[in-house]
Amino acid sequence: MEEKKSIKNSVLEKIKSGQAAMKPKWHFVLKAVLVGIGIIIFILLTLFVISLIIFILHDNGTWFVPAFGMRGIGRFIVSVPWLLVLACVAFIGLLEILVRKYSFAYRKPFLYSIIGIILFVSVGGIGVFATHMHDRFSRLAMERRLPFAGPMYQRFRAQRPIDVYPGTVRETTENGFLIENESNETFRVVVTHATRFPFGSEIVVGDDIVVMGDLKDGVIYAFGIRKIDDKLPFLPSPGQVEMRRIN
Amino acid sequence: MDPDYRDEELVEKVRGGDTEAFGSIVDRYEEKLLRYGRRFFSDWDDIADLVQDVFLKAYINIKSFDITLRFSPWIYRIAHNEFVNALKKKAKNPVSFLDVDVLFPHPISDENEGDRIDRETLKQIFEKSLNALDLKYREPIILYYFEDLGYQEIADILRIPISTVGVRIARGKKILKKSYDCFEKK
Repeated sequence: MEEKKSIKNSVLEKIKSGQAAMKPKWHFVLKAVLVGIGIIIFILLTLFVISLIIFILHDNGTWFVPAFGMRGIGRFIVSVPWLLVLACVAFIGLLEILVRKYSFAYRKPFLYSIIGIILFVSVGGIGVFATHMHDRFSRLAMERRLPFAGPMYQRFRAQRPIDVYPGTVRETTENGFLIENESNETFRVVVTHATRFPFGSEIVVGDDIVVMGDLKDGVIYAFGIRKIDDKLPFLPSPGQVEMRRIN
Repeated sequence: MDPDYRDEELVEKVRGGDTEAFGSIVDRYEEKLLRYGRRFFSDWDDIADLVQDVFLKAYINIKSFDITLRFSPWIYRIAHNEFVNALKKKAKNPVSFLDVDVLFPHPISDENEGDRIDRETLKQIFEKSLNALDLKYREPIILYYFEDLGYQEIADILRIPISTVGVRIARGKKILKKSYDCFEKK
């Protein structure tokens, strides 16, 4: 009972003497606003990075090569910009930490909130990609008119996989096609009996395609060819990107 | 202070500058928080100091409390943080536990009149078992069975999913029961 009294007295004494003072309401409002801003910043950063990853993979054709089997999957894995993926994972982790301050998140199992965040940023990232924002930034970067992020776009565009060639069919030949890429380079594509066509071999002039194969003396010996008309409706193909640049 | 005031009403008064209203809050929660602290620590002075800090932190941060919610989980949350932080700083031995029957209402109900097990011994087994129980199981059990809080309130105090509260209580009970069964076989 003595202890009880002393705790109460001691607490009230500290309050009355001013040793313990209430923090003002604005302190907590500011804290909540800062957490909210932090969440928004991390969401935007994650959306930017996810859409950039999709853009890079899409732009250099790697997005389409897993359809060519193990070699395609291997190429895809090697070509993924892992640094960006790691940054993305870090942002998602930080987002999860911030979101779990709210009862709607911590009252649900961790798995639910993390899956919710991943779904949200994935769909959002695809949405941002579909706005062609990176396409415009990339074009500005190539024209050296994009400050800050310009060198990043230039570096990623320079890191193209050695055996993946996106382009538009300009001409059909006896044993293949002539394709032109976005840099207006023309390559002869040779189709052999071993060439894989996972989505059919009906390819005509004007089709946007991705060719995977070894380049020797300006000739690509195709390991796999796929037309890019099976894309998601809201995703532009490399060919469409190129057409916009020409226009 | 009118004993009919709800905690949240007292908080309103404290926010308005009524220090005595905070005294009433201390009166209402002191015993509960001391009891809660005793599940973490054995040193009475340490517990009293920590509980005092809990009240001071509650006062300092009282304007962050959402008046539309219940006050009890909010102050237990502060106490939880305070105790866990203190535990991290220094490893102490948690103390005795009582009210075994509350935890297992009829653990010895089937035993006959000539029961040879001393009730005190049995209590000690539970105390030992509970003290040996991992903190993640011990705390929800304490809050649920001894502090009479609901799953959602415990979830808010420990910042864990409601379903996890249930799972931890069930697992903790299972572990305690196993300890009890082991003793019985002996």
